[in-house]
Amino acid sequence: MKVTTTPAPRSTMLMEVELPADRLQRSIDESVRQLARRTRVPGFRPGKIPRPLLERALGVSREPGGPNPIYDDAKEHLFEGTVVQAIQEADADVLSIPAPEWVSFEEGSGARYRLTLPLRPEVRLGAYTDYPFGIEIEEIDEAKIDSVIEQLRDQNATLVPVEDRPAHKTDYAVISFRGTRDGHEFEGGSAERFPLVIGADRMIPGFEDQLVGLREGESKTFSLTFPDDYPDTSLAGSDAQFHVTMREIRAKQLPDVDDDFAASLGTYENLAALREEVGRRLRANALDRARHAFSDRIIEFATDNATVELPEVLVDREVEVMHDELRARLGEQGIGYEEYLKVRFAQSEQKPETERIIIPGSENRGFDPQQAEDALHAEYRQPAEHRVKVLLVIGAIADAEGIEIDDAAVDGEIERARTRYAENPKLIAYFESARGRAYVRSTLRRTRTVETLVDRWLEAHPEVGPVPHLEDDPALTLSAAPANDGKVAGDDATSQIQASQSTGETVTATTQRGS
Amino acid sequence: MTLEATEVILRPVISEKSMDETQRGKYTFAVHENASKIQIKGAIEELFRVNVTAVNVLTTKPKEKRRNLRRSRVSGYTSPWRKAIVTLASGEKIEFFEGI
Repeated sequence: MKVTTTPAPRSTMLMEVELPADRLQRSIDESVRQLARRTRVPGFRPGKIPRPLLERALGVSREPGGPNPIYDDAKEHLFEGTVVQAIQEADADVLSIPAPEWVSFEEGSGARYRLTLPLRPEVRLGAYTDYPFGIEIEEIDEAKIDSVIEQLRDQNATLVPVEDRPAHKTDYAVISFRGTRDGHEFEGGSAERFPLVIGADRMIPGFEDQLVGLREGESKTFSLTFPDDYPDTSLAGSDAQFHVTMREIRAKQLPDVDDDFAASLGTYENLAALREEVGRRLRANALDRARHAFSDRIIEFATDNATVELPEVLVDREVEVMHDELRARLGEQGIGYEEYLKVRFAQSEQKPETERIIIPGSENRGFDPQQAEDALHAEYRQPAEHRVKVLLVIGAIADAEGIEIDDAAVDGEIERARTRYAENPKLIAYFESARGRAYVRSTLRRTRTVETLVDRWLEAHPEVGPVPHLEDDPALTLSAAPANDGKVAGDDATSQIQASQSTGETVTATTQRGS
Repeated sequence: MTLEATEVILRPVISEKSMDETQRGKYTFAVHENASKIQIKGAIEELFRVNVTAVNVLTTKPKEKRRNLRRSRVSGYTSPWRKAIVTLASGEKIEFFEGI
């Protein structure tokens, strides 16, 4: 076996492997034996067919270069049997093995194949310290505390029945309505007890305006035109008559900001204590956010300064990973994958800004899932390339800095995962496998690399003071507050503040039921 | 009965056994059911330009075939045919079999 390699662009390598005649003959003989065993020819027991007859039975072409199942089989086995050894001889860090191209294949004289192998890209790091920027920590002033207190008021508001005045915007109303078109009711255009917030623009334009001024028990008839971009095309643009009865009106009443309010949110003695606590949490959040933003900027900085030639396969793989992540995310949110694609791509020309839907069911014609998936992949290509680059650059920095993760740290992380994902035995099994461990290790290594860079910068800039992670501050662990019945939102104050800064990506589907 | 050489010899028999026998200069053919050994010898010598030293013939008997097709029983027989095993003078070959 003779192996010749030539470097090729985009971190690839052209490898040509030459196989001697005897190696080729052995492989062909083996293929003949194998195929003879699988082929049935009348008059012969399987495996006893002479080669000329076998060739005829398999449809081997008499012309050289014509279809030849025996050669195809031999090529496959030859390639599989030699490529690994060839790569070892070439001493290259190969990412994947594509199908070969056979340059020659001649019984009695030998064979040659060549293939383009993607190599682990070499990262040439640029500057990754001495950032032209610093950490930016948001100042927490009284106004920000005020706005949180305002939010808490809003979340702890009570809905008070209104009887003495007509409805106006922001009221919570329960209505019954009947929609007709040319004197006939249409599907989904009627409801008996339909709750809505007046002015939230959930209905078709103009509908909610008509409710303003109605008293409880009063009825009203009015006509409206469906917007032209209404999802149900049979209704879009047509005129409809609505007969609406106001069933109930409730108004939001905000609690007064006083010591009682503070006490109702948990174990705060007075308003001052609540304000102090809110301020403390906001500041801790600001520090955590600042640290993350700073880490991100460092990563961007280092990535921009580094040069990497990415082979296509790496990007392709990352696109697949992103696709899987999307599916997992949709699964978590309970959105059908097909449905999502439809909403994303079939309606892209006439995307409704708000979901003004009374009637459920929207048809999508001319939707091709394959096409949508291709569009999705094309869209992912650029971010995937960036992600791969970031991963490689951080890996290279870790190498340069000599950052290693010992087994104890990996074990610790897996132990944490075990408690966190206790309800998901499949995931835990993955983390415990060799592949899972390698994944945990590389993730930890990247995290530690970035953390090291951040800490080093903070050490060099003592005027900034400590910038801890949120989870590293033991005083800020979540404490559950008693549930508030009858409130608009029954969420406790602590988690509300936490949630306001979490930036999990959410996927919204515009198909929503209206009646 | 007068038969042309191409009428006497119908086709070669290609099977594991017949291929094996060619090693010993014995070639197997399906022949006309009424062909005599002398006719077969003449036909082989004429068609393949070889010398025949012996001819053995046999008739494979029709064999009963049955199969059940959803209650209606189908029965019949395989076709009878006549097989001739021709021995050539030592060293002689029939090229036709070689290529196969």
